[in-house]
Amino acid sequence: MAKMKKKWIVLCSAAIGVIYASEYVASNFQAYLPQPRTRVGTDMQASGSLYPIGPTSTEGLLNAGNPIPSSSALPEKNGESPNAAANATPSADAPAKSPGSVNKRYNDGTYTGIGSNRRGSIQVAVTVKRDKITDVEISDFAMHYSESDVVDLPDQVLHKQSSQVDNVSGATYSTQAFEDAVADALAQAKIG
Amino acid sequence: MRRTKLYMDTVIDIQLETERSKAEAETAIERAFAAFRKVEDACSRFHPDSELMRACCQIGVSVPIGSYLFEPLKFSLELADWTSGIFDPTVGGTMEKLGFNRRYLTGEMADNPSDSSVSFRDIELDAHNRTLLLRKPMVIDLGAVAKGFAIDLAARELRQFERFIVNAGGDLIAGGADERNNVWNIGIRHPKRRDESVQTVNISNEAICTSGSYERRSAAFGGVHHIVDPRTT
Repeated sequence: MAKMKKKWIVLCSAAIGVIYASEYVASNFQAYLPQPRTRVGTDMQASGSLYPIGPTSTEGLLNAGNPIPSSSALPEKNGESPNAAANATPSADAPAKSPGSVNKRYNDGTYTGIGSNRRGSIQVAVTVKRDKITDVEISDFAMHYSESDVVDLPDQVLHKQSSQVDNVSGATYSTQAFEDAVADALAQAKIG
Repeated sequence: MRRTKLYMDTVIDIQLETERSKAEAETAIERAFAAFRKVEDACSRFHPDSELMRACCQIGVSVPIGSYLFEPLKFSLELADWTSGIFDPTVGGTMEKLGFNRRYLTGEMADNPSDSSVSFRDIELDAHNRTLLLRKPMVIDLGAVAKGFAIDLAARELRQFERFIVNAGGDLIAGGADERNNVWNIGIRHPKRRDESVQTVNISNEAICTSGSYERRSAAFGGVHHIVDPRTT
């Protein structure tokens, strides 16, 4: 185990190094291009033209009428210079109207949605671009996890998280609690 | 400064403490979040248009793939090899059948072909040409490695700052130290009492990950959770 440890660290560092080496090249190119379309190094343009996917058969909230893979989120980060904030490049996105926009279902923009569950209320800011959710920010996180779901464990020496720790590690929790708030925001974005 | 967004069906929480300008901090935080979006766009098995799922449509063909997919895939294959398949990224088909097939926020259900005899040995990665070849229909699940990969990338965007934490739904990296003890004090969540810790750990410029069956239980089957043993499923 101890011997393997070093190998995993090397592997992880190498993986991160590959990404940064390639993006460094890419960003240097972008500095000279007013409308960056080259994605040197990340190789991702190779996938952009691969095997078109048919419309999904499921009743998806988004994307269902949008069978063109090139309208996926992939091209967007293409135009994103390393110094730009996520929403700062609307002009780069404008020309890329896909055929899917004929039956466009949502207006582009950022919408605030509010939801609640038994733990409290949640406010989210959902950004929609070309019928895709590109960003969901929790703008007000007033959920309280103070109720124990299960109270059958014997009392142990437990630390109250809020007062004694800077942060908490645990099994990955899902975004289920946020779905109402996101749906609320999408309702406002919906066309017609 | 603290910002929270949703990626990879979990909550990504970034805390940053710095003497530098607010604008500088905000820009770096956005870049850190962008790392999660890029990894998700490349590696998600829930998005039919992710680079991974588009590649999984092609059987017996060498498909060129980008670094955001290649690197985590390579890492997971190393793990699979080391554990002789106890860890196996081809578990995706099994996960779908167990009810872990719902795309978060939009609710689309994934249903993809996967050979019942598939194992990580049916994946060929060509490091020289950066291509992926699948010998059988399969759904690759990078759920165990992609988040850590994204956390490392995000931390790299933030490492210029004095103190930061990137917490991706319970897996976190703590950079720098806090002003009190020169360390970050991290609680390990109690499996059943969400607001309590069973233990605390002091770390500085280190990461800590926790997994457990108390989160991500199957919506389709009672008692089924997201950690499965490939020898018994």
